[in-house]
Amino acid sequence: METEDAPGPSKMASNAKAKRTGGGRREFQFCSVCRCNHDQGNRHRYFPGHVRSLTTLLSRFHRKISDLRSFVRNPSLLLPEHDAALNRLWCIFCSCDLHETDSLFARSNAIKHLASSMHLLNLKNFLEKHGGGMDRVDSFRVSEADLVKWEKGCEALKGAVPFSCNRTIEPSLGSSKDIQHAVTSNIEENSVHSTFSYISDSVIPLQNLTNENYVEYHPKVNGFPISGSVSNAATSCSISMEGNDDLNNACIFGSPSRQLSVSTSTCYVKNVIRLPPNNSIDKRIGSAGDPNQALPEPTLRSLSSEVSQLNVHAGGPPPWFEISEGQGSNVTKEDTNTNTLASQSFHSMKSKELNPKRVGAAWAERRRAELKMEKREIVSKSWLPNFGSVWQEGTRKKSRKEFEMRNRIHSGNESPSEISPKVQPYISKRHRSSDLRGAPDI
Amino acid sequence: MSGFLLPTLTTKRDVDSIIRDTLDTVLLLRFGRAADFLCLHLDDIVPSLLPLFLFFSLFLNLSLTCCGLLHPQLSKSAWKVSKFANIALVDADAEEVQVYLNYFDITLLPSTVFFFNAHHMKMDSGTPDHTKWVGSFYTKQDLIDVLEAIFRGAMKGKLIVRCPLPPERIPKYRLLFKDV
Repeated sequence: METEDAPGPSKMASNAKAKRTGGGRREFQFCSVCRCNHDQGNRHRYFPGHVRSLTTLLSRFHRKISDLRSFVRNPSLLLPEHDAALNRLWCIFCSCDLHETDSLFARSNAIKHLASSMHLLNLKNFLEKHGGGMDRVDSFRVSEADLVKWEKGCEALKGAVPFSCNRTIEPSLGSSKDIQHAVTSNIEENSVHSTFSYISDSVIPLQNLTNENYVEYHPKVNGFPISGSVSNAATSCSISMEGNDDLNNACIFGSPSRQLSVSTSTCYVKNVIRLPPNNSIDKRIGSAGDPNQALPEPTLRSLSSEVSQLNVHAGGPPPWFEISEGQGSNVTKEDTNTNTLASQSFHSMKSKELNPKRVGAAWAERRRAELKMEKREIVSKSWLPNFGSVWQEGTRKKSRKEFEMRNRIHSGNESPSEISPKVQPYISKRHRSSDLRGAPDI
Repeated sequence: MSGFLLPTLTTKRDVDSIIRDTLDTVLLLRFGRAADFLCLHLDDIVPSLLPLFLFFSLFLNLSLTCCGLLHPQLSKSAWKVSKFANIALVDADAEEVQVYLNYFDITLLPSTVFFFNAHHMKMDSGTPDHTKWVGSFYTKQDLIDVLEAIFRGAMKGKLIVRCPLPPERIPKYRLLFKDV
């Protein structure tokens, strides 16, 4: 009977559930990463779907920033023939669009924005809110040192090259033909930003072999790897190869059979799981290191040259279930003698119902029945008359007496195997009576 | 009091039959040598308990297993645990028994293997090998405790049981793999 003071079990359960879920029903929130509404509260950032979306989003932004870094290292003038639309950058942390329409140098607005303190603050808030890992902050911004270097480069560029909007910087044709090394050589040496900006969002030359299965792993992001193969494998590889300053620990897992030809700036980890050796132990030594041990060391047995692999450790069949030819189902006196102790224990057990779930219960029942049958066989073999004496003249009692007489004689001789029943052909009563009639009178 | 005879098995047939025919009781098979000191310790042959001529006979490697008086520890334990356990000795030097030695990977003597209803019982005693007990027991009570733990676990359907003895009373040995 429930009272007001004592809440019922159902109420207590619901209260406990409410406490567990954080005090009642939560309001729906919109996650800008997943672009969905949820009522999971703070737990949402740990959900695999959110993690996946966040990783994709960050990797995409990272790709864009990597393009931008090339301009940080090699400042260049913004040329009018460059499509202004391609020089836009949407900052996901600040939710602002960065145009390059009024800037003098390529990507200057974006560079300045990424170096600003406001961006840093928004970046930190974003990562804190969505669980991106606070150790990745530097990879999504331009440091002050880089900004200073960039500004110096811009000043030098201003002074060295006369400002001309018509000047074009042509990429070296030789290196662009080789798409394998197009990005690496051009980015590091020449300012071939034009090709890069064209292809940054569409296709990037392959950096590594795509017939390898590899997963990009950023340990700085608290180890949430992209499951399966990366969709834009080449782009992810390019990130790892170029953004070395900020992705020092970026690793690429490769299949154990092949090695990826990556640059020295990236590390390579083999995803190999070493199994412990499965061989049997060859040699053992008894340890006598324990001073308190009063027992002597166990004796080392001489090992045979051929060690069987099918042992108990390997899960081989037990040898006591392998019935040899000599055993069979015949129970001799020797077997009964060796089984005396076993049978004593067997008989000494109280006849009570044992746990059916005990080890080997089925085997025990089966074996018990077999033993009973064997006992009956022993008794019946000695009791029943031989097959041959059934056909003999006289009653069954007579034939049984004859059998017993024969047994007594032969048990004295201790050679039961030599007893062979006297087999006589069957003579019907009619023949026997005709024989008797034909016999002469005595 | 110590007249409980412990059978010594030398053929595979004997070992097979005792394993198959011991039902609903724990079977303890001690693989060892009659003249081995630790085996004798396990069987509790202490020189102070024996007359001098028997003490010297130990060094002459006479077979003493036929005499139940020389196995007071095991034999006494066998009598005490006879309601739920069976104890037998297996000669490790016999030819036919080598099959079992290879199967259980017995390299240190004496080694004790436990069975229940023809199932091999394992025991986690903190040693590297859970399939057998290597060495002797400190006291008879330790042996009885181990047998009781195995019996209780087997009756509950467990194939591997935890050793009830404290670590300091468990004989330590080191396993080497290819001299490493």
